[in-house]
Amino acid sequence: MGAPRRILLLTAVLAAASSVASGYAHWVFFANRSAPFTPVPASFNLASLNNNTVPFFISDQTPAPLMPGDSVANIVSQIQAAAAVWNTIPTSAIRVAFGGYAAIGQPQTAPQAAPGIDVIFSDEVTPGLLAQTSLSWQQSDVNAVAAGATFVPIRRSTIMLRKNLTTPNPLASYDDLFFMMVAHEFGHALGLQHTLTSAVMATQYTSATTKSAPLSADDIAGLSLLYPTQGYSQGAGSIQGTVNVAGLGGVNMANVVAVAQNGTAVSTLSNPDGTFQIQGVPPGQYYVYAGPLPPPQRGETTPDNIVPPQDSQGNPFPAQTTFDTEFLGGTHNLAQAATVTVSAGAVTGGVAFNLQKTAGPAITYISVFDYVGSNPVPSPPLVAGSQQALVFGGPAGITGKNGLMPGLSVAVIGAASIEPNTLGVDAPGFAYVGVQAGQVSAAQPVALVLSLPNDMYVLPYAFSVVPNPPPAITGVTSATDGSGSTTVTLQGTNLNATTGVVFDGAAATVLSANSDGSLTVAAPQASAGYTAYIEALSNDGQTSWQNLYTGPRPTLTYPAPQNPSITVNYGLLLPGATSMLDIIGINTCLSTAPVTIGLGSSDITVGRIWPLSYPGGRVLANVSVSPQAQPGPVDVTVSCGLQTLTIPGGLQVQVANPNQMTMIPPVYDQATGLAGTPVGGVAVISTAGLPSNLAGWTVTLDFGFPATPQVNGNLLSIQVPPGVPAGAAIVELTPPGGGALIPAVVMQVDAPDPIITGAANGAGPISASNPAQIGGAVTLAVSGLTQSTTGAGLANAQITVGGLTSGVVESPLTITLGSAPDSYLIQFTLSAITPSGPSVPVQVGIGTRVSAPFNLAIAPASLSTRR
Amino acid sequence: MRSGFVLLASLALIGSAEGTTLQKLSLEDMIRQSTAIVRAQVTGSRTAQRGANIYTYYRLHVIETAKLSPAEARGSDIEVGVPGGTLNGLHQMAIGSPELVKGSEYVIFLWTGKSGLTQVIGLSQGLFLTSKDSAGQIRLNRPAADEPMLDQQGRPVPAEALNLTWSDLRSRIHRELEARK
Repeated sequence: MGAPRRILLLTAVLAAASSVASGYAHWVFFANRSAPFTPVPASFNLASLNNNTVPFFISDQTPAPLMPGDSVANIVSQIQAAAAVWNTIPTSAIRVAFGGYAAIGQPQTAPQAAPGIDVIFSDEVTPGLLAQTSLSWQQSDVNAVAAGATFVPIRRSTIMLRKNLTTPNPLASYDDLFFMMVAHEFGHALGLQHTLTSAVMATQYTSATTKSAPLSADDIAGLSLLYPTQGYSQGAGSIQGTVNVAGLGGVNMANVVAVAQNGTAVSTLSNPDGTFQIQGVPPGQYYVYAGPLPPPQRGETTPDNIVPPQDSQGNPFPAQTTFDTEFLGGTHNLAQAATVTVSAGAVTGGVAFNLQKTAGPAITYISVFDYVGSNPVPSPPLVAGSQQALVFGGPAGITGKNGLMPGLSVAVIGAASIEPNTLGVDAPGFAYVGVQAGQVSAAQPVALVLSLPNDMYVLPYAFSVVPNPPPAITGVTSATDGSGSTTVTLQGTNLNATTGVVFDGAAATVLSANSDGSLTVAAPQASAGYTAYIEALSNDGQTSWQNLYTGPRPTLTYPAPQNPSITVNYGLLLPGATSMLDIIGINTCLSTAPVTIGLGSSDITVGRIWPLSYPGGRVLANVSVSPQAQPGPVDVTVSCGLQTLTIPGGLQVQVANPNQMTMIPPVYDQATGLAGTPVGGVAVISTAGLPSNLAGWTVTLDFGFPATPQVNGNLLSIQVPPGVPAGAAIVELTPPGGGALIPAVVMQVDAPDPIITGAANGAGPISASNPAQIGGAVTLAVSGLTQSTTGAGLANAQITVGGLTSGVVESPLTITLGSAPDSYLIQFTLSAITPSGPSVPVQVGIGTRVSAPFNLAIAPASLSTRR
Repeated sequence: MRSGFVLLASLALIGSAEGTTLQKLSLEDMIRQSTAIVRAQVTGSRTAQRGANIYTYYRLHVIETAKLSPAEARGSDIEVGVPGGTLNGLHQMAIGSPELVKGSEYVIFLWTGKSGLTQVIGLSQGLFLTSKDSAGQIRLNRPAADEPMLDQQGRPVPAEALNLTWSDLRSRIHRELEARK
């Protein structure tokens, strides 16, 4: 293939933001039925979520019967892991969090005002269906699009899975299918429809991502466009243009895809007038092609099972599908295709497709697979430098009665090449072709291009080229100590320090990569008798299970601890109030592992959680109840490691009191604005419903340390009295003589702040005559750095110079032990943006503990340069 | 260079490796797993809450039956539930749910679960619009194409055509059910 042809005219970069966005495959609404078309997507309203986090709940009507070796705990672990996939996108603001078990759809379940995602297991899933997701929105919100609404709020999403996982479609949670299926359904639940880019949101026949690398660039763009973080649009570019078809004009829902040589593929669908804009495109050079969506496959109701856009009255704009697919440049031949260049924060405009009218796509789908032994591997990973014969086929095209379709040729985009004269018929409907994998240092998807004289088809992630064979686990040895901590050594191949290891859905911590090729990991905690399925995930997208098929799957059955349980020691759910929650465990990992608490309702928000050092485990947390919460029982669920423990109906939402008074955490340190206050510091608590005069009121910390409250508007401030131990402290506010019930909350009392005791550079102590230099090293002597009780380790230490934290230090801090007890030396290099002056304040922070300013002489940049 | 003819994996393996919502059902699967197969006309619909979901219940007048359960006798009116719909101003969009058109005639593979809810098997997999051909025969139409498939030995097989008459279907049903007696 020759060098890609660039059309300079088309790659002119338009600096202005586009007014003709088109929807990635979101649920889209338009205000009008005529141009201009501005897509209005359905999405969760971040403003209605706590910390941008949408809770998901798992039905307490758990699945049964299960496949041999499977358990509800295994399933719940995999669901949690699959949901968390969507939390890994740094350019997306939305997060999902486990909200516990819930009595979803049960008569006793109170209606919920806040949005959420429900996962239910139903006996009403018909044969031929594994999962189905539903999204709800108010019809009035759709109507509001005509009046300028910029999004349609998703009120609730429901993921329905089979209750019987044994028949007629056997499905085990230890099969990667389960994980990928749930991840796919969560994508739907968050507002994504199908795409044709082999992403996790692609339909079943073309999806190619794996448990090791579940998201593609298209998935990342799709969610980031719905819930962008600040600055997202500046980091990515977009491609804007039109799709016209001879005799039809602009066409609706044409699939427009940008594919880079490195395998990055991002797509969109055209608007009803044929305009489009592919947004969220990483900078680079791209082939761009446009074509129709494939016709509905068996069980699908619309092309690619994508619900078409609607107007504000709910009337659809159906997809148009009677045209060919072409590369930019008006060709079916990759060698003649033009490319465009995408730059960060810019719109590459004028990308025009003029397609030909046809009866429909000549090739609708293909699947590509290789064989490992006798087993077919879809979207196979090919080891760099290897030669393989790949089989591909689809519902139409590929082969005819007398062999290959006339004029069929094959090309690739990516780190591979087609072996000459290797294209042939494998079986009716299937062809094969020889592929030479190139050399890569990291995994790269490769697109397969099937060209016909009058049409073409592109599968963006037909296969990948990977630097190494997949990881494999051939043996498992373990040791468990009395506290239930388990160390596991995995024998196998292609295991190294970068290999991720999961026990069901929970990640293990790699302790060492051993000289014999084995890997030693700290297993996530579980309970006696729990059998976890172990999987190795390489950083090139491969897994230790991809070639296992029906072979034995490595497991670990935990010997301890026995019979874990939890009890609610204290909990009060008052609508409109925040209250502490105290949960005590027996034989749990509550005190030693990251903990999730769920109270089974999106109207109840769990705030900060404090694991306490306590035999059997104990946690404190602040729990806020929406004023709209309806009275009724809720399940209490606590999850850590591979333990998920629940008390059905463990707490009760009380009847709302219109005069409810409450403290509203988090409790801030007045000096730092951070959610931790040292003894002697002033803690500030927001309140609601309190009288303006608190004369006679008392505050008690940790049951025995009284403090005098000061009130300023709705802010309550107290000085943390001497003697309060560092850590979680329970705050009780009591009116004179008792009376009104104001729920206690929890605050963080910090150890004393670190203290900077001195500063030096290579020439000695820093002073006016020996100022610190821009670009030069500075060493701070600090005491009290490691008295943290916040869980923040040394790696979280950070330096603030002249009020700036971000960017003032050029490289990671180097922290070493000092000569004096409890002293550390922190070395760093001042960056070019560091402010200068004779007395620039410098602070050291670790977690919520921040030192008092230490004034440092810093030479101006020009003087620094001269020196 | 080998072309991959020595194949042992099952069809389910291919499906499971790709990640899916749907599990494809062959005609024989649908004949076997359905609880009734009817030719019926849609006469109306309603929506109602069912647990966590809204369902649209289509009212059907049964014209003929090809696989019978007592509730779906010829001449009877039955209701078929389809996930999704609009109720009290709340719209629930269930991905992949078919929409039946009032007045239209369908051949439907029905599935009644333990709860008693009757649905179309496999979302729209079990739903065929009917038409009369030039010979006056009732034909089943499903616009969906068929996907690549492997046989039980993992060998690629051509897509199964589903272009048949009601009469053909009845014969297939009879043969399949007789063979399983």
